[in-house]
Amino acid sequence: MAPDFKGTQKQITPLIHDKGSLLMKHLFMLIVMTGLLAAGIVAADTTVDPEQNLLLIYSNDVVGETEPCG
Amino acid sequence: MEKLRESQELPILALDGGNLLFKQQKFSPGLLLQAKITAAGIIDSYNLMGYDAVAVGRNDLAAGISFLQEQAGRAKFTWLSANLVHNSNKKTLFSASLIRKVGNISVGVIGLTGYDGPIRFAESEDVVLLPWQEVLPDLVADLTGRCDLLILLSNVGSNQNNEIAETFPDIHLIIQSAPRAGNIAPHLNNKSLITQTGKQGKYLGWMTINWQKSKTWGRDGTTKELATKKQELDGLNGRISRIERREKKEDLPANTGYQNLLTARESLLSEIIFLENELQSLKDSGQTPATFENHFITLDVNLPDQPEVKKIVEATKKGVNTAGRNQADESATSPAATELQLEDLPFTGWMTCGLCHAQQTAFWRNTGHASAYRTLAEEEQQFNLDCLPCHVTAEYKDIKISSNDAVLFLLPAQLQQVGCEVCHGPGKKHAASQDPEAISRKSDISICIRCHTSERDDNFNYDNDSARIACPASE
Repeated sequence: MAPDFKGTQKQITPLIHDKGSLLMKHLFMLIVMTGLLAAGIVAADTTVDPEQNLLLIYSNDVVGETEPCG
Repeated sequence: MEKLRESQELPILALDGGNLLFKQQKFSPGLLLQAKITAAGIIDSYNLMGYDAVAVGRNDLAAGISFLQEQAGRAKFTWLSANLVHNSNKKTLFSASLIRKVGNISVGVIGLTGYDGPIRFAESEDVVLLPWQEVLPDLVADLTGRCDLLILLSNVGSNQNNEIAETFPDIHLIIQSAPRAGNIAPHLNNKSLITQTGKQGKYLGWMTINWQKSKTWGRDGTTKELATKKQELDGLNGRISRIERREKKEDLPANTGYQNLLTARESLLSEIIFLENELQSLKDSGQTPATFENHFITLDVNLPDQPEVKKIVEATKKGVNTAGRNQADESATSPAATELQLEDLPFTGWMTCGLCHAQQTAFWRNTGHASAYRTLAEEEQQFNLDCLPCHVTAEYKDIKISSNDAVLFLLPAQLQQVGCEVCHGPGKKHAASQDPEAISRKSDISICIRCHTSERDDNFNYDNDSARIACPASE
């Protein structure tokens, strides 16, 4: 059985935000935050040490075939 | 990459698995100038994108060591290869590794060039490529004590990377550039995480890493379980507060559902405290497991170009095409030009086919194949030999007009498109004899995938696409 290690992998495609969807996103966040405050929720403590974080960008010949011939 | 850098606000390390300069291990010496222009453009783009290190891939050796060393000099990033060494003194040609401080973490990166057996280099080059078994033991032992996180940029195949993971638990992350097209999501083998992005500019991988003193990727579910419990607590609190708002305070003690929720919350809170204590004690003892979150970004053609990189790419394409054009001008007066007479070629051109197969030729003229050369010319890439062979009629299975691709510059207009004979084979004999046995009626997939490779044409589907371009039967 595959080990249950932490970490997720996601296949994402870039999103294009228009003003409408951004407004909806902010509205949704406001509703969620209001709900949390009403329920007396305090932000969860984090076990992550921010000084130990890094962003790794990696590729495999990223220039490659990005420019088609024609 | 710019957006990632802005949005994540984390210290960054950018790495590439190699095979930048050539897409295959073969190289035509006649294309040296074009190869130099392309290499310069690619390296300049990487400089702009802020790469820290790139492994020397097996394909990067296609034009020889001196070519690579000459081009590598313009890089602002570090080329890494631990196993490409001078034969005489066994010293590496490029850096075997580097250590970079990324935020508070000392990250060691080793480069490994693809090895599937000994390579014959020119004797004058004094170079030998060694298998990983000969170079990694000392290097890993040396770096383990000097860095917190050890990454291997590996150009060797997947099986070899699995062996490396099993042999060297101190390599924490293997970024492979094995010869396969797709993404491989990070997976644990022994103590090493192995991952790969799709090759040739289709995807970019990015990973946020929370590295810990334990130097071990988390296997237990404590952090995940804690997050789940906290989510459950959020839900319970919401339900409890809704009941409290809805019901009168004096009725709550008798409300069984409400009381059950309170009991559940008590139980959940004690579980959360237990898990938090467990994690804290792991952290105090330096045993907190490291975590990561990985993403593959599809490098869609609709993504906006970075203006400076776009300028480099356009200048490179123009430079390659100009070099090809000059080569074509020179070739036009060379002996090869006089050799290339249409009447001597096995291909006859679409106009001859149309004399008897007018209906089929008319159909073909409305397909993309018929305008393949024109679209190339519109992009000013008709003298780019990386492109040209797939836009003309000059090859069918093992029949090729010439082993010298530069001869393609001299093709007559009748062959400047993907004509009938690319699918049906050279038609000179058939046209002369009208013998149906002298031509192939049906194409097959091996012909199509010479050009419709997964790198160039993600959506190619032989059954659908061949049906779409199949000529109509004669009425």
